[in-house]
Amino acid sequence: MSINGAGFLLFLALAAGAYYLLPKKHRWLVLLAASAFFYLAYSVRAGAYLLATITLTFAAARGMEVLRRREREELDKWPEDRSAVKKRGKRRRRMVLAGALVLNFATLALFKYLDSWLGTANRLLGLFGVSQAFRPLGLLLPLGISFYIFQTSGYLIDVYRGRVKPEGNFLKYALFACWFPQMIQGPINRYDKLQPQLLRGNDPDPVKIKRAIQLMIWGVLKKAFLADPLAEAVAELFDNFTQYQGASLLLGSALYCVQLYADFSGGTDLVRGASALFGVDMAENFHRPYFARSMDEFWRRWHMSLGEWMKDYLFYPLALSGPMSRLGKRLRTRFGPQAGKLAAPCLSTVVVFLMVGLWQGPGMSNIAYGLWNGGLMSLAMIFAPWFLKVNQRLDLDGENLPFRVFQSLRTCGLVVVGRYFSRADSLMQALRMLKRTVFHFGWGSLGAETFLSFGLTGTDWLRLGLAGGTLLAVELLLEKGVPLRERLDQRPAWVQFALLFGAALLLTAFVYLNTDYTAIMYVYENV
Amino acid sequence: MSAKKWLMMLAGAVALALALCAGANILIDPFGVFGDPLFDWYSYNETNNPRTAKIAWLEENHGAYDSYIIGSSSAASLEARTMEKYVEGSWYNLFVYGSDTRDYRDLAAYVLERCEVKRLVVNLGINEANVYDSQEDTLNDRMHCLASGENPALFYLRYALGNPRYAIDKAAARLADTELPQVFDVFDVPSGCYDKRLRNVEKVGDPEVYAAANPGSFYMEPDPDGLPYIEACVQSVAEIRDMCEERGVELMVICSPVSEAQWSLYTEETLRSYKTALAREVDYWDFSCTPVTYDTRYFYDATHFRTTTGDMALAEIFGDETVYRPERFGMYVTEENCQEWLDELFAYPPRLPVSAYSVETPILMYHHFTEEPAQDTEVSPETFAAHMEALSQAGYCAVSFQEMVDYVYRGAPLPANPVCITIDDGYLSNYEIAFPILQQYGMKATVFAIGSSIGHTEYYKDTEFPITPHFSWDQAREMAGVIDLQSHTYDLHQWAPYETGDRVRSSILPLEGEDEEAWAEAVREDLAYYDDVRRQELGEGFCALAYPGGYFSPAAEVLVHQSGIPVTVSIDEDSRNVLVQGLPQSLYALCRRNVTERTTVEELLRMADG
Repeated sequence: MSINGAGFLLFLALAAGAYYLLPKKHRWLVLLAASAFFYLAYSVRAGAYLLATITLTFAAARGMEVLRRREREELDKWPEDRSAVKKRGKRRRRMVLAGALVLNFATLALFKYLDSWLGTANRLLGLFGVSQAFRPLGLLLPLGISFYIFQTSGYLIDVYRGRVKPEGNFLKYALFACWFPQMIQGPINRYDKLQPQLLRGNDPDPVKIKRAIQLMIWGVLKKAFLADPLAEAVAELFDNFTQYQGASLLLGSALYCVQLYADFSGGTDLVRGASALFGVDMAENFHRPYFARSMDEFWRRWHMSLGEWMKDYLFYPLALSGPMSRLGKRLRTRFGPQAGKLAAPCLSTVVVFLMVGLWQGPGMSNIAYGLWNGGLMSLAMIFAPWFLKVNQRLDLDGENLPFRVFQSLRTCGLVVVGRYFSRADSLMQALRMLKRTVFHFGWGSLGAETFLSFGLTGTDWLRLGLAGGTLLAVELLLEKGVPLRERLDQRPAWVQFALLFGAALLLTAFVYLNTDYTAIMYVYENV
Repeated sequence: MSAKKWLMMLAGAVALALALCAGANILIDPFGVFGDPLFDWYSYNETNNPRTAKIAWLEENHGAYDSYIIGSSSAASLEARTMEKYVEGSWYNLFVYGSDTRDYRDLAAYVLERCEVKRLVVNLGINEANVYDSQEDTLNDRMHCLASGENPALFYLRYALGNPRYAIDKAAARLADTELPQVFDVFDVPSGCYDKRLRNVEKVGDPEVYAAANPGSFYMEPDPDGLPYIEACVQSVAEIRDMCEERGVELMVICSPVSEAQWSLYTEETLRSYKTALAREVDYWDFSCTPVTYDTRYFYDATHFRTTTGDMALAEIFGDETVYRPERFGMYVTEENCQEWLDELFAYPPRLPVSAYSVETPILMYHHFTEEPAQDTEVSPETFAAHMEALSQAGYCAVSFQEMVDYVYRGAPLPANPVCITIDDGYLSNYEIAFPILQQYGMKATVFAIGSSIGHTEYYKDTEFPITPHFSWDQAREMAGVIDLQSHTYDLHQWAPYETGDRVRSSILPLEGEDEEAWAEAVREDLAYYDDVRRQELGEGFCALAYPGGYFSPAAEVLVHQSGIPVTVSIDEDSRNVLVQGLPQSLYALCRRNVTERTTVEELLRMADG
C-alpha cells in the first residue's frame, strides 16, 4: 500500500475509526492489527522476517531481564560477593546483548549489503581470473528493515543499560517494533517515548487530529510538488553526467538536496501526522536543516532520530571506551593536551559517520559520503580555536546576520558537495562529476538553456519556484520563531477555508486522483 | 476557530475539491461516457478509449446503422463505406484497438441487444488466438458498462473521479485541433473507422525506401507459446454465431490478411489447428495467407493490413471485378473444404514474383521548347527529337498516367520498358514543337498545364505583363491521343507582380499565416473548378496533378486525392517510381528526372532506365 495514495487515507480513516470506537484498554490491539495488515499487505515473506526480528529481540530482552533477576537473587544470597556477582551478571547480559545485536545487524547486512559485497568480491576475484565466484542471493529487501533493526537494537541496549524495563507481552512489544507509520521512512523511535503512547489508549482530541492532518497535508504537498518533479531532472543529470558541464552538475546536486529534503521530510511529516491521528507522537526527524550554520548543527537538524541513535548507542560508548581513553592519554603525552582531548571525539565522529554512510548503502560512494561528513566535522573540531580567533579578529559574532547567512550558505555548499557521493551510483562517478565541476565548470553555459536542458520546462521551473519559494518562506518564518499555525488559526474563517480548499484541490487533482494516466499520444500507437 | 469547526471545514473543502474535479471530468468528458456535453468531440474520446466512447456514440446514434463490423485495430481497414458499396445498408465499424475475442463477444452482445442489426461482420487475425481477456483495468482500456455488465454506478463514479489530467489534456488538445487528424483524434466518428486521410497518403513504392521508412515495423518477436487461445477464440465466435442465429442476423466471419512476419511465427500444425477449429464452428472467408502476405507494402506494419488490402478482400468477397487482386487471393472456407484448402495452401504457398505485380516507371520532365535554349527549363527541337528517337530505338514505350492508374487499380498490363514523358506549364511550344516530334517517333506525353494560362499568348491573365505563349483548348483537343493534358492546378502557380491581388499563390501550400480551413477551401475550389473546365473542354476530369514548383505537404496530398485525382507528381529526383498493383499509394508524389538541353542521349537513357 503506497502511503501517497488514496488507499492509505481510507486505511487510516478506517483504522482511526476502529481505534476510537473500541474501549480504551483494547485500543492498542487496533494499532497492532492495522500495523500487521499494513505490513503483510506489502509482503507476507517480509512479514516473516520482521516477526523473526521481533521474536529475537523480545527473547533477548527477556533473557537479559531473567539474568538481571538472577543477579538480584545471587546478590541476596551472597551479599559479600557483590562486586563479583555484579560483574558476572553484567558479563552474561552483555553476551546476550552482543549475540542479539550481532544477529540483528547480520540480518540487516544479509538483506541490504550482502549482494553488493558479493558483487565487489566477484569483481576483485575477477582480477585474478576467477569469474563469478559468488552468486548474488537477490533477496527482497524487507520494507523498513533499517528502521526496525535500529529501533529494536536501541531497545535492547536500553534494556541492557537498565534504562527501560523489558516488555513482557509479546504482542505489545510487536506493536512497538512494527508500528506502521514508522515502517516507510522512520523515524527511529525510542521505546520509552513511543511504547507508553501506543498502549495507553488515547482519546480523540480534535486539536491533535487537526494538527495531524495539517502535518500530513504539508508533507504530501512537499513530496508531490517539489520532490517528485525534481526526481527525474536529478536522475537525468546524474545518470548522464558526461553530457553536462560542471555548472549543471553542481545545480543537479543542489536540486538533489532540495529533492531529498522535500521527499524525506515530506514523507516523515506524512507518517508523523498519520501516527498523531491516533494520538501517538513520533520523534521529530527534521528541523529546517538548511538553516544550519555548521555541519555539526546540520546533522543535529537532519535525520535527527538517526543522529540521536548514533550519538547514544555508538558515539558515546565509543568515545568513552577504554581504548579511546588510553589513546587520548598517549596523544596528550606526545602531542599536547589539545590532541589528547580531541582524539576520542574526532575518531568517534569519523566512525559514526562512516556508519551513517553505510546505513545509506553498501557502496564505496556511501563510505566516502560518511568520511566527507565525519572528516569535515573532525576538522571543524580541530580548527575550532583557530576559527574563533579569526572571528574575534574580524569582530564577527554569532548574531551578525550577514555572517549567519554566510555560515548557512557555507554549510549548504558543503552538503551539496557531499551529495555528489550519496547520489552517484559509484565513487568513481562522484569523483568524475566533481572533477567536471571543478575543471569544466562552464561559466558560459549558465544561461537559460542550461536550466532547460535536463527535462525541466519553463513551466516546470515556475511551478518548482512557487513550491520551493513557499517552502522557503514558511521555513524562514518558523526559523524566526513566528508561530505560523497559531497565526493561521487567528485568520478569518474564509481565509482558512480558501487555504484548505486550495490545498484540497491541489491534492485531489494532482495527487490522489493523479493515477491511472497514459498521455493520449501513447494511447494510440498503430492504425 | 475551534478544531472541530476546522475539521468540518476541511471536510467541506475536500468535498468541494472532489466535486470540482468530478465536474470537470463530466463536462469535458475525455472518455465520452457522460455524453461529452461541452465539446461533443468523439474522435478524441474514441482515441482515448474506443470501448467506452464508441458505445456512448452508438447509444445516441445506433438508429443510423443496421450493420456492424467487429474486430481489433486491423479491422479498421475494412471500411464501412466500402461495405456500403457492396451491401445495401448502413455500416458502422465497431472495431476496438487492442481488443480480443472476449471483447468481440461483449460488443456483439451489446449491439445485438440494444441496436437494430441486420448484418454483423467479425474480423479475425491470428492474434485473436494468441490473447484472450487481456484487457487492462485502466480508464483507457475499460469496457463500457453497457457491454461489460459492470455496475453502472461504479463505472460512472470511476470516470467521474478519474485523473483530471485527462480532462486538462482534452481541453488543451481542443485548442490545437486541426481539420486533419492528429495523434489525439484518429477516428472518423460516423463510420467508426480510423481517419486515415493522412496515413493513406504516405507514398509507398520502392521496397527499400519503405523498409527504411518503417524500421522494425515488420519484425515480430518469436512466439514459442504458439496460439494458446484457439479454443477460447473459436468459442467466442461460436457464441456470436448463436446470438446472431437467435436474432436472425446475418453473420460473416473474415480472416483478414496476415503479414509474412506474423504468419511465419507459427508452425503449420498450429495454424492448421486454428483454421480447422474455426471451420468446425463457422464458415469464413480466409485471406490470411495470400500473395500480399509476402510483400510488406500491403501492410502498415506486421499486424495491420492496409485499407486498400481490405478493399481487395471485400472486392473478392463481393465479386467486384473492377478492383485488382492477385490470383489465389482468399477462399470461402467451410468445414467440408477446409482440409483441402489448407493442404493446398501449405503445399504451394501463394508467393508471386515481385515483377508479376510491380513495375518501375521513370518519368521525364520537360518544360519549354525553343530554338535558343537559355535556361534549364528550355530544350531545343533538335535535342528533343534526338531524345525521342533514342527512347524509341531503345525500345522504351511511353505510357500515360491513365495507363498507370489502370495498372495499379485494375491490374491492367503496362507495356514493357514503360517510361512517362511529362511537359510542365502548357506552353505553345508544346503544341508547335513537341507535338509533331512525338508523333514522328510514335511517342506520347503528358502536359501539366496551368489552367488559368491556357490560351494566353500575350499577357498574364490579370496584368499587362507579357507571357510566354500557352496553347489553347482547341490545340489541346487536337493533340489528344499524343499529348494528354493533366493538371498543374488552375491558378496556384502564379507570382506577383505578374498577377494582382493579395492571394497570389505560387504553389499549393498555404500562404504565410493562412488559416488551415481557408487554405483547404481555396485548394478545393481551384481543383474542382479546373476539373469542371476540363470536363467541359475534353469530356472527362483529371487523373494526375503535378505540384506547382514541386512543393506539397501531406495535407495537400489529402486534398488532391479527396478531389478524385489518383496521381500526384513532384519534382523529386532522388527516388524511384515503383508502381504496385493494388496500392494506390504507389501513384503518390511520383518523382521525375529533369531533362535539359545539356542532357545527352546516354544520360537520358540512364534516366529512363530508372
